[in-house]
Amino acid sequence: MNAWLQILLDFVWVSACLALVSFSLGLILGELKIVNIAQGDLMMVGAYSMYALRGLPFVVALLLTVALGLVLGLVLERGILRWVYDKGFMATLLASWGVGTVLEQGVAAIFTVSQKGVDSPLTGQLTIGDFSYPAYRVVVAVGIVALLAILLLFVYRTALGLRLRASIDNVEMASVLGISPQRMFAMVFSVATALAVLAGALIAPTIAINPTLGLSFLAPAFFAVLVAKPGSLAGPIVGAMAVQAVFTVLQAWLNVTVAESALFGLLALFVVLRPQGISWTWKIARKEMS
Amino acid sequence: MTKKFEDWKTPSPSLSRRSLIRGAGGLALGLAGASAVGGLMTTTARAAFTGSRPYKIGFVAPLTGPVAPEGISMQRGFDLGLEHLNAAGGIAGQKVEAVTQDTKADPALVATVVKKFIQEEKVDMIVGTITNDEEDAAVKVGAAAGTPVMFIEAGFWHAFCNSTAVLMGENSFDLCAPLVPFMAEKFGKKFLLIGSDFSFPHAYLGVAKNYIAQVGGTVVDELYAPLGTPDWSSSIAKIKAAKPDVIFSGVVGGDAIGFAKQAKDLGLLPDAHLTGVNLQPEFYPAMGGAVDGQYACVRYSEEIDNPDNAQFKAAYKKKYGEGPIPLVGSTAYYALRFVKAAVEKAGSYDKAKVLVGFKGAQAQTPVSDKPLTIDPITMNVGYPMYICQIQPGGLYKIVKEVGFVKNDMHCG
Repeated sequence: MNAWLQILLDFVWVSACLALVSFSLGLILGELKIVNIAQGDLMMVGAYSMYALRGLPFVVALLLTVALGLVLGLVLERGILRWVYDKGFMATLLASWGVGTVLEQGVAAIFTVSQKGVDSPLTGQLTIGDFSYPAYRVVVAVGIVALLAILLLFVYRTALGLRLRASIDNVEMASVLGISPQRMFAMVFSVATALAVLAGALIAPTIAINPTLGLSFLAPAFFAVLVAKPGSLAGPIVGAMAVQAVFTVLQAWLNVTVAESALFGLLALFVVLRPQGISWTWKIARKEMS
Repeated sequence: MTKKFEDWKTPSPSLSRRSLIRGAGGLALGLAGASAVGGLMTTTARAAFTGSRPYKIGFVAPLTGPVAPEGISMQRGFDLGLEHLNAAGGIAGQKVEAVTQDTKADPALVATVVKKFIQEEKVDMIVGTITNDEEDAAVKVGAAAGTPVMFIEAGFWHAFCNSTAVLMGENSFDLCAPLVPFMAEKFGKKFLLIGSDFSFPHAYLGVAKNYIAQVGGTVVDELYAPLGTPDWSSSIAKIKAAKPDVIFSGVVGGDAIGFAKQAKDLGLLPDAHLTGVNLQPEFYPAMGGAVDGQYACVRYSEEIDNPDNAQFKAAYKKKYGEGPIPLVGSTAYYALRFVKAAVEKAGSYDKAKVLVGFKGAQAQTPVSDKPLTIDPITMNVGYPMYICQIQPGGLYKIVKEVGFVKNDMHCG
């Protein structure tokens, strides 16, 4: 019984974190039509920001980190990405890859590559009978779910959200109707960056922080976006839960190495069998490359 | 890196040990270095051979990339060791020169750099590397050129039989032989093995399994996860379900930290008994106290009480700041003493002769009052191991001095 409860809560915790990253990735892919390879590195920046601000109260550090994410996103979009939008799919891919590498090396130069750690602000355990689970993970998972709910409500229930969806659907038409793509791009990239940075900041107390930590989150997040219903902003969230659910089941039966290979094998198979799940991104890729 | 001591010319190596210490002591009074000179000189007092030029070493280290923390620690130890060695007169009465290059832990780059060092820099030998992959790459090139290649970390001795490799790290026998019986006696005989999924942890845990069988213990489960695993909850759930007496871990690198932290978060630690290379001192600072109170088996502890170690500790911390001294840093520090012993025993810089010189070469080191010896067959240094309990703050407090470990290493 307790073992099942643990598996369930582990699933909730990991899929919540993954959902946040996947949502931000899907947002950028949807609006800017960019495959942002640097998303994992933006998470890493969030974790290091929490390390750098570890002297401050956790919530203050978290808010400052999110602010850093907003500014960083704006700088990256205005300073780099906007110059390569019209250069095609490959150019934006390489630009984001370059950004990721610069972030990794920059962080390594500032903090050295040795492993860092951040203390958890909540060391207590939630106890049900003789079962206990770290309170921090539960609180953060609930917080992420609430945040994602607010973001979705915003996207589907507000005027700005409507403009965003219009812009995602057809950026040319939207711009004719007075929705400035530049502003929308800058806003979306800035917010998506802040969300990735936030995800990294939230997992920081539970992992070893190093400059390449984002890489291990990138592949599952991409698959979460790929298996999602094309064009839907809620899709990557569902995708993240689906990917993590399969992974959790596999891990319960197999060694982690085998489970990981099996997961990506199954996901690749899924993408082959249900190409409509991937057609959205493929169309973008083909259109931009040709 | 040796500038500070450049002008400190030592008398010729034919001087007796005592007068050398006195001379050096007078020169270096108050300077870190005095007692190291004593340690260094034990094997050289009789050296009749004087080199015609500086002995030259190619130092290859992963200073960036996944194992950079170990690589940087290794370089620090090496630089300090070189500084002290040259201050004490170098090798065969000549200063030792070193050329250094980063290899990013990339085997292909290691091979290129080693080749360049041998062919263009004309180095007399190669020192460095951390991972097994780097070692394999380095020794292939080194052996082809007949050049001695000294590894600071352990390798699989059997992979290097009849090559030109000299292995300075402790081997899996040293690591497991004392630890398995100690843990079995203290906590029980149900072992669970967990490791990072690459060659070293598999081999290490394989050796552990033999010792577990010897003490009549059982292995309840054996788990592996790839390097770079961020989430350990599934493995931790399995460990909880298996309820082992001892978790014997070959999880290394950043994963060692992630695993230990999450084991504490999820309530596995501190009650469970975690041991193995997971607890190497270099991982401690980022673990946030997750492994305080646990027991580890190590080849070096700052607690080792002798003048050589006191001097090394002081010099290392003065140069690189406070904090625990990584094992690889300590080993890289005294590794050059074996080079000195081998070259002076050989009485020549000739690579083949120096290689013979390494067989059975002895040197005094900070890890023990007794000299360490390079096994003439496997070319692996044997260590007197220490079982330590980890104190809050990161001191590895010695609870048992195991002494030299008998092992099954052999070639052919």
